[in-house]
Amino acid sequence: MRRVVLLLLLLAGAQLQGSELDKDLAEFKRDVLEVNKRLLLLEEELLFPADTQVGIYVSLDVGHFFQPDSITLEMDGEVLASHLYTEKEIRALKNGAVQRLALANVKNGTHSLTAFITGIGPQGREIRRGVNGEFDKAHGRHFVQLHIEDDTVKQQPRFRFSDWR
Amino acid sequence: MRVFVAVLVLLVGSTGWARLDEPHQVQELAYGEVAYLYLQGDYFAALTRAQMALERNEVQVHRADLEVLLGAMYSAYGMPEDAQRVFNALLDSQVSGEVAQRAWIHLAGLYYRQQKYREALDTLNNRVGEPPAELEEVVLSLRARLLMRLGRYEDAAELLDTFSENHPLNAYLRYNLAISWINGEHPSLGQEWLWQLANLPPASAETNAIKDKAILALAIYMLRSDQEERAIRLLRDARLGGPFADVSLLLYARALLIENQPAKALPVLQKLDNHSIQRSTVQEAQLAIPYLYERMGNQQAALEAFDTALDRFAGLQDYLLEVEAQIASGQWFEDMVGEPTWSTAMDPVPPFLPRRVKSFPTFYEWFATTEFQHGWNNYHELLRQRNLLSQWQQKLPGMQAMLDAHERKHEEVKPRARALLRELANQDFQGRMTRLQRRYDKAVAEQDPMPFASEKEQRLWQAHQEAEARTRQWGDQARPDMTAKLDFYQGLLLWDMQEDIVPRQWDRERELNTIADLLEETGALRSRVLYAANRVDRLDYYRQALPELAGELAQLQQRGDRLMRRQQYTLQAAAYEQVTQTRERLKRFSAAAHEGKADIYHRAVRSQRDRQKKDRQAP
Repeated sequence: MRRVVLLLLLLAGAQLQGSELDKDLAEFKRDVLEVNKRLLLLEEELLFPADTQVGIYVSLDVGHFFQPDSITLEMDGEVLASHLYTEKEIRALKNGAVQRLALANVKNGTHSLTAFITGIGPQGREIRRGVNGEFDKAHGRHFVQLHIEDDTVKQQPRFRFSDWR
Repeated sequence: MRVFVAVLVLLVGSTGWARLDEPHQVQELAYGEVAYLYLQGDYFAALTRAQMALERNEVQVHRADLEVLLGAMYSAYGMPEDAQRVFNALLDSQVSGEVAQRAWIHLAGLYYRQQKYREALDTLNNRVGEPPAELEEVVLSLRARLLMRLGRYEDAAELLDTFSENHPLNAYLRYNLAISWINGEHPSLGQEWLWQLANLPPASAETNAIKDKAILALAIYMLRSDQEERAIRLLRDARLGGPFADVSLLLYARALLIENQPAKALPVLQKLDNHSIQRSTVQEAQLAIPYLYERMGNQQAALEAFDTALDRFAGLQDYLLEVEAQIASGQWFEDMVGEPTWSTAMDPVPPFLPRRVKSFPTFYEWFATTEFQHGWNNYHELLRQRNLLSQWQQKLPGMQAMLDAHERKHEEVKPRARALLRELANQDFQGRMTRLQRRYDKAVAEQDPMPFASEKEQRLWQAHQEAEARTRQWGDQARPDMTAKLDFYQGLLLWDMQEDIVPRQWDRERELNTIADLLEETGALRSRVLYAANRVDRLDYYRQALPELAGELAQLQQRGDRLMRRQQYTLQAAAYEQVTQTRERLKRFSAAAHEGKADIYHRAVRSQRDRQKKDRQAP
């Protein structure tokens, strides 16, 4: 008997909830997003203060001649990040999105970057390339972008670092 | 259902971000990063990143684009009110025609999700106009679906003719339209379209599922319109590995029975009988098997089959009672959900499937409904949120420790920074620079060569001055040729210095400029040191914010738990309804089985009586 009552209560409650629950869920998501944003901002400021922060980004433009499999990034001779690409990530990059590969703290001054990239090139050939770059860290947040571009003349991919400051 | 979900994902995914199969135009990293997360379906992470970018003012060029993306993500993430707010604000402001058009397309999509079909179509017709090439398919598919929802099948068909044949949406839309036609005014046209869909080459799981559904719909139509033979041929080739395999088998057996081929239908039903009794098709097969034996004249086997059916129905009834009890106690839900694993809390909800617990086949069809999927996804989304919140709670002590470290470092650096600032003030670099500049300006104005003389020239000039002074001391005793010589050398030296005075002035000017630049850099560094030395406001803010955030996290955890329970109860209630329906069906089937058995006995008794009657009448 107790079970039946419980089930009836369950049914009645569920019918009442429906869209009200959806509304409450949306409100909850809004609040979680807000708190998550605040915490992430705080964490980033504590871990990577603007004065020492450098962000390394990767873009693929357009990707007819190259599809990345993996990237290993070194800064001043130390491995900073390694990444293996999923299909979804490659699709996103091909559609013009930009990946944040690494966030690090560095002192002001000149720093060297090296990226080792593997992937599939024209005619399905495996490609392994290394690309070097330098940047001068100054006051404030600093961003460096690794461009993987199509060289239509050579029908080959081209890799280069560029500075956003 | 999966098809429907896939279609929605496709629709949302493609409208939010125009395809950029060309050198891309992202001019701000933050915008590109949001797109990176969005295009992978990580709406939560993308929304958070977008909000961070807006708060930190990281996006200027793509601000309107980012807001369109934000609205699209709110819409896809089940936050329609937020989406509406973003789009309304965007459309009320001064944005480019292209941005406004994309916002209107999203708004129409949002109305569609909210089942405001008329409003959605009006928006497409009156606001969107001619869509850009990359969004043409998306708008077309949305319009076609709206027209179908509004019952305007002719218009939808016309629209579909312009739709790319290979697009995955095409098959889905054509199936819906064919069903509408087959049940409405154009059954033959509907049959033709279903035939085309049934003969699609094998492709993705979604396309194959549509193929299976088309075959089933076509077979039902054929059976209804006296085309049994064609239906049998069609069903004979139906896929046995797909989600509709058991329905195909049952339908095939029915078609064979209609065609009076019970011997062929029996193995088909026996094959179906190997599946779980919890499936409605298998339950139906339990009744069909004895009926087949009867048709084949094997009354004994028919009776046994009815008994088997009754036993299995009774066994299932008992089991469903157990399931009901498990639902009520929450055990059923717990077993089905299992323990999800996460890589990071910012990951999207993984594609959780109900676990293959014993009761799975009872809910098989319900699991595929929009209603279940909606609730199921919500539950897991809440699970993720809870996971995220507890991860933050675990991180808070670490953040506090980091904050303390920052403060300690700040306290250490502050006296050194202040000492440095004092030293800089004592050096008076700026004042010295100003004085140097004045001297330079004066020398240039007076065309005085001495400030620009080299060391050697200065020594020579000095030596000349001394020689002249001594010569003057000698008075009349000085040799006239000596005085003339000295005048000559002085003139020569001056002439040398005047000859390239302009390049000399330039050199000095360059040096002064270099010093000015260095002073500017020093000024910038000084202001940073000054800021660092007096920076207490940010640390103060953090010190205040952390406990606040801890409180909010705890509150959100509680709210999340309550919402999870509500969502769980909603799903449990729906599951209970499913069980009730199954039990009602079993009661009906059991009654039918008893009836069938009674008929057999009745027929047997009657025939026995007839035989006895004949025997008595016999001479």
